[in-house]
Amino acid sequence: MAIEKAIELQNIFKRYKIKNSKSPFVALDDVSLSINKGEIFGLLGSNGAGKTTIIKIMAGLLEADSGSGSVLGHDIYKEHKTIRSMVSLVAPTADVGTDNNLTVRQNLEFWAVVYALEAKQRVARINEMLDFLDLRQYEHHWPMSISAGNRQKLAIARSLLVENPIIFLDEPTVKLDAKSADAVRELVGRINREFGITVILTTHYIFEAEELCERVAIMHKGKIISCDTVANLRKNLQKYDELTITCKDISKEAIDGIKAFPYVITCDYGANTIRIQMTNLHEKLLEIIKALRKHGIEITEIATNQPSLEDIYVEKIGAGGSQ
Amino acid sequence: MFLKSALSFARLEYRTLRFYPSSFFLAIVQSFVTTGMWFFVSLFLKDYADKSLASYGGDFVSYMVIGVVFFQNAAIIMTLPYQSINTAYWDKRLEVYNSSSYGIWAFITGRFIWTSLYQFLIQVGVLTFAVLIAGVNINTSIPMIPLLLFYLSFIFTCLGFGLIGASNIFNLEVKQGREPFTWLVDVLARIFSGIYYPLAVLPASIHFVSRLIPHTYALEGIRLVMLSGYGFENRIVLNNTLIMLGFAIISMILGIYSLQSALDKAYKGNGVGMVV
Repeated sequence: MAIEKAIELQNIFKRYKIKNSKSPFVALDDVSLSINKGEIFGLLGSNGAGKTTIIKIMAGLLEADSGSGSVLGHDIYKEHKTIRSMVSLVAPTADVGTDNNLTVRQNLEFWAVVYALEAKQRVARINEMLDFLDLRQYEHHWPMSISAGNRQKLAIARSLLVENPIIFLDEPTVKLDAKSADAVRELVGRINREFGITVILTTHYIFEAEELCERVAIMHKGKIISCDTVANLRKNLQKYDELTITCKDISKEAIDGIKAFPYVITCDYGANTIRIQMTNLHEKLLEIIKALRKHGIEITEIATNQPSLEDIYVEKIGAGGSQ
Repeated sequence: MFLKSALSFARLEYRTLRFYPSSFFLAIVQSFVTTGMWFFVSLFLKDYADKSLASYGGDFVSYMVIGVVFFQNAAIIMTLPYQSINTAYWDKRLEVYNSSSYGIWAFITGRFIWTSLYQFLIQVGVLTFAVLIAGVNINTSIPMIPLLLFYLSFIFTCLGFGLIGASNIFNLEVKQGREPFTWLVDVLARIFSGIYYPLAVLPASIHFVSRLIPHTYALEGIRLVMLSGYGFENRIVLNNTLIMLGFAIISMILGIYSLQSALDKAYKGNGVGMVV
């Protein structure tokens, strides 16, 4: 069965005019993207990479200069107002859209009306969101009296008042402490799992993308320089998994046996250590251990090292930067 | 639902005011101070000026107070759209509002509803004080329909002008300081519309400028209605009512069109807000 697409963009260009400058700033340069319904998709890149611009275009808030695309089957040029009403958006800082003169509940009540939620649904939906986001205990608190993490939760609650099939989270953990950021990340996963909402997340925290996203697009200077699952990005990286085994009584036969495996790239050994560069480490680790034991080698310690998304990012940015 | 959404924004203004009641108090004081200042100036000039004001009942103090009270209201309404959008832009709220169902229009409408009511209350308070305490003379039988038409058409004309001005946030990229269109209208109105003195004072060669400004017709009409008690049987009242209705309709159409065009231009260009 074909995977349903939530968003498809082809060859999108966007340039910003800069005051007192003849040359525009190229925000997006031939960006193509396809996001499946129900997935958590990450846009990874440093500041100025074009993440927010692409989100604005996908959310119907900004028109692309050229290219084509659709969001939930609606054309990004002709139906951007419809798209706006079908997607939710959370800005990088929680305070955007939060009124400090209204309590947590009053903020949600205000936005429920602004988002044109039916009167009958409002109270039930607000209560549901307060419970889902664990904000019930703060419902009568002023936003400035709760933590930054809870304010971010309030911003997310606001965006979830309307049951839209897509939510854009633009750097949702920026400016949060580690504990609050963890709570927000956990929440992002739950939003996706429990409501089936397609989540598009921008971040410049590599570990965040790695932890949350099924697929990641790496952006650099307005281009998407790589887009795939984290596993596939790893696979395509010309950097192998590393396995370091500390053991006793290493024999040449055992090393030759390991070298004979087709997935082993290199195998060096010293006094008590074997260093192996290989592919498919997780799948083949047991096979290597069995082979060493067969030769009577006693293993005392195993250390593995797979290339992280950070390695991939650094390599891709390097390649992208040199293009 | 649009109206509900707009009323939600109006309620937000009310809640903010409740949070800071001193703002309401200061706004009232400000209105009293401005009106009071011109009241005393007019008292000082009364004997000389009354002679020129036969058509308004020959009372310069009343002429001045009514001019100042209604002009203040008009000036606030005229700058409202620009200030609302500008503040929301710098608060980074504008794009969030834009992403909601009725977007920026519900926001502006809500702010307009609230500000109009708020200003109306202050106006009524100042005028009541002026009549009961300061001895300002107004006619005892004011025809309410012409007065209401002048009041509403004046407010909507200023709102329309304000919307045109607000479009300059995106058209001229005026994102700080004074917006030139409403500034120009305000300056011209202060000099040429007869707020503080009768138009006869102005050189005849520049009377045509007065006739280009809606404030002239509105203030002239309101004064004839409130000071002399004239209704539509008076040719000037009738003509000015029709002219003001025309101004209101045209300025609202132009205002809505210019702001929507500016928002569309921003959508195609650099976007409506700073941050998503």
